[in-house]
Amino acid sequence: MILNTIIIIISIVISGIILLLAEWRWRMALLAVVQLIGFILIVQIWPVALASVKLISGWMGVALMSATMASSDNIIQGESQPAAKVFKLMIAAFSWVVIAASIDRLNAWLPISYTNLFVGLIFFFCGIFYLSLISEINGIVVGLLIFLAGFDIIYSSLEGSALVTGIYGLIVILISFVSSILQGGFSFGGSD
Amino acid sequence: MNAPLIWIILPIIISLLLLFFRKSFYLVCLLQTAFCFLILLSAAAARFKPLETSSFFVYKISPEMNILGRSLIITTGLKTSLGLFYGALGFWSAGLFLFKKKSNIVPLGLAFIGLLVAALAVEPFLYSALILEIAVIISVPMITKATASSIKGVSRYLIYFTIGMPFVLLAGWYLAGGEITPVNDEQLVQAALLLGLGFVFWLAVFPFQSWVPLLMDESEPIEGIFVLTILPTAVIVLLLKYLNGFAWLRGYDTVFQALRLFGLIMVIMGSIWFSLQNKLRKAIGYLILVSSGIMILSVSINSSAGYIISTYFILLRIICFFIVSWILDTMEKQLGVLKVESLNGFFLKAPLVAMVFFISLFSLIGMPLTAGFPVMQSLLSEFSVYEPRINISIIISLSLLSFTIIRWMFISLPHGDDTKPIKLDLPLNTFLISCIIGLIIIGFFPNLIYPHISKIVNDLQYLVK
Repeated sequence: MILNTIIIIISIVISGIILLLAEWRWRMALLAVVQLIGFILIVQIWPVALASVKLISGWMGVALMSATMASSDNIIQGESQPAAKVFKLMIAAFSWVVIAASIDRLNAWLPISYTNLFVGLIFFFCGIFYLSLISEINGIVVGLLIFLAGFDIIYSSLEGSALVTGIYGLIVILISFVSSILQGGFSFGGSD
Repeated sequence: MNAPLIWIILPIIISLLLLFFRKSFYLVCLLQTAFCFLILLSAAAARFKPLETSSFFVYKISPEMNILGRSLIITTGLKTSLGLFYGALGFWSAGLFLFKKKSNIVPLGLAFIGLLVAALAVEPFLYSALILEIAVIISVPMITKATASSIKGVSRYLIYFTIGMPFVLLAGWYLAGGEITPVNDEQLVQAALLLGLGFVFWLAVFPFQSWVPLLMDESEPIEGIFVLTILPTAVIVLLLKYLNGFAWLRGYDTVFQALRLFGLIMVIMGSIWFSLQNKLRKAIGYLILVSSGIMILSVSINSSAGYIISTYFILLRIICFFIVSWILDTMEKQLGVLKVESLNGFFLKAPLVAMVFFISLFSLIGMPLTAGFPVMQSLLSEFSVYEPRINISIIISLSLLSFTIIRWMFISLPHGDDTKPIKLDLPLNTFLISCIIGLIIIGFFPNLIYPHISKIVNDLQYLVK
């Protein structure tokens, strides 16, 4: 119970901070924490081996993107104007309020653990807002991974399947790989 | 041997193997072309095992393969779809080889099509959304380059498809539950809403359509049109599978009303934007939206004829956009970035290219004597039985498209002295002449080819009676 409350609080804090960060290293670190939180929640209902597939694939994705970012020379940093930060925080706060207000009705519809649903929705909305606020490819992929992590927490609580876990892990790694390709980290050659 | 192994797993493995040899691009291209046509032939000759008929050209094969408790099942209908998809890829790859153009369609196209077929073949089909997402991710390096100056379109493409996936997965979970225990009206609305949201994202329904023209603008016409033609087609076939699979979904009238609304919005908005576009690539993007909208409209009729007509549009769409993609590429080579005014004098510079371009555009909108006419005419006559009011909107939209294309034709007529003819090489000339002949023959004799395509919906026993 205490662990779950701590996880909810950490998730709220992370979903706020990750929207504000401009430095890619911090973003990646927080993305890794998001994957860890997902693992902690899923391991409570799934076998460790299956849950750890999600953690490992998530971290592999983070490592792949970090490696590309570290070797890339044209890193675009986000703006750091105070007004922009307040706006982003307000958006995050808006999503927290909406989730807190609707969680009971949603929980009646999706019969899963309260913590899993709450944290899943926090990351789900955080991912969507992140996607709407950023235009560079690395940021977009970070947003997609947060969004997918949120959905994964909810969906894994509804249905446990080895095939879905495998495909989901593959999707996470492939999205990170595509981000690396689009940033010039890998080349397919062949094109004119 | 079983069908999923030959038509899904093998193409994906070959695609991955060919990646290692991509430096010898034209050899790989030739191999991919040959492999695609081989699949097309094998799909035409295959009969599934319970059937005992046999002849010299026919071989029997098991339609099912089990992976981790799930199955990949190739039905007779899916066999037709995959033949069409691999055939399209074969033609695109052959074009790349003949016209000496390099593209990441070789060899990623094989994996892309293999995954799309897997998404349509997986049972329970709730998992299709995940496999479709992988196909989308694989297609991203195909349509964009690391050096691309703008990736707005491709990033929106990735975002919208990824956002759509959870909705379809959740709806699938909900609907699967509904098959076991009865659901009330409220739950039905929720499931339909989730499914609707997912498909709205996937099919680029207004207001989520912006990535289509952007993607067309950013990517090469060959690659962009290939993905934008094949992917929505696979999504619509998937939609048919969902409708056929869930009794209470197909019995819910609102679903078909929503589809009609989505289709109508796509056709009307697409044709308005098409007529206002100055850039040819973007205009073709909007034409793709119109084409998808028309397919959705034919599904929304919810009659056997409606579903069959939607399959005719699949073929029409693949043929016409294949031609348009190569024509756009040829025109861009000669004229640079294409704007409508850059068509000035094009009819004298390259009359054959211009003719094929306009005939394929007219085919898409169903002009008489072209390949699209019998299909469009069938759709309009079907709507006149079920919902005559829709015909007015469709006809107005098609008229708008026609006027715009006729305006382009007038611009293409010579207005100055610099109308030196462009020399075309033999493969291109042959290709263009075959295109004209093909489009007109299909227009005159639609029964030669269209009835074979309708097999796509043969297995949807609850929809097509």
